[in-house]
Amino acid sequence: MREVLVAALVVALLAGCATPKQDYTLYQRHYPASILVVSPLNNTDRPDASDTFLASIPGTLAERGYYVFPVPLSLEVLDQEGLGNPATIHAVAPQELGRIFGADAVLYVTIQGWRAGYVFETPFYEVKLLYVLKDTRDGAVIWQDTRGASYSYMPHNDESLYLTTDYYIGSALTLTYPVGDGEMLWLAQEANHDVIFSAGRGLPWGKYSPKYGTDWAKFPGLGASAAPTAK
Amino acid sequence: MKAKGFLLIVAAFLALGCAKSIYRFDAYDRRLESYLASPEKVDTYQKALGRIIEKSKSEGRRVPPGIYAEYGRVLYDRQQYAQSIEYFELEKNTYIESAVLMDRMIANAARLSGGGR
Repeated sequence: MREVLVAALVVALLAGCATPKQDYTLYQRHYPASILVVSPLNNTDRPDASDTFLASIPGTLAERGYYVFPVPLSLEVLDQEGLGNPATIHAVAPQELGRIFGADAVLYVTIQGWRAGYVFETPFYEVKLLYVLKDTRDGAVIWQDTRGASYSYMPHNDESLYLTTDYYIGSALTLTYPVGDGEMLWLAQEANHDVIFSAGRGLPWGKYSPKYGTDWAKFPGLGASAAPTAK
Repeated sequence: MKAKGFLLIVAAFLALGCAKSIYRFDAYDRRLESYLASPEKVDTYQKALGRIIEKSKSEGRRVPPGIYAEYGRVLYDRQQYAQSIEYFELEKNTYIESAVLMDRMIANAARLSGGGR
């Protein structure tokens, strides 16, 4: 009886945590093969967060099967076009970026949290990222993840990992950034991976993945019967 | 304790990127992070790009997206236009999605190298 109660409680908790389902109807219609990542909007007091995020994302998108435009070259071209400022680039029409790069979609990221410090003498790291993917043909939002989940990492004395969502630290955090070398890159990659590889609410496998087309049943609106329009 | 051990193994796999990865990125993320922070370290960056290309080829894998293009861009920025075109062509031939951008770079490089290819 106790087990049943516990199970029911777990189910209730899971249901309570469930976030609204994504709809992939537009994604299906404009199934992108290539993604341009533009400079993130950085709402934190860490100016280095932008570069670290930009370094963290190409591997994730490529391993998901998408063509990712090379970051330094893209930044250079955008500079030449007078679009070097993150606020400017986020305001420009995706169609314009599609024209310049030939990209199918543009990924806009906002950095909402980026901090490291110590909690009771234990190292603590956190990133909070919001993702929006827009189609370059009509500018429509074809995917987004704006849960703003925090990815926190606390290595304990035995070096084991504690990766939690929405870890609440409150005022116990003493900021002593930078704590270490490379942890923020690693953590940004974890956040990217968690969001983008999430079955049913991340990005479905892209055309360069051997698994392309195998996961559509898990994505609402991404019918297995409908032919993809990947180019 | 078992759960911790499992997490460590998962983390190790993620860190090594050896679990069914499509590409041989060879710590490109760290190289890119350093390069974006310190663009004057372009030699180190170029060597890293060269190694990714070599290792990918020797393993019979497709060179990851953007690596040929980046190698070409480094050459382009050094005014080695003719050589840069070769790498832009390689990117374009590997990934048709890059064609618009690569054609733009190839046209610029051809113009700057004194016309003609």
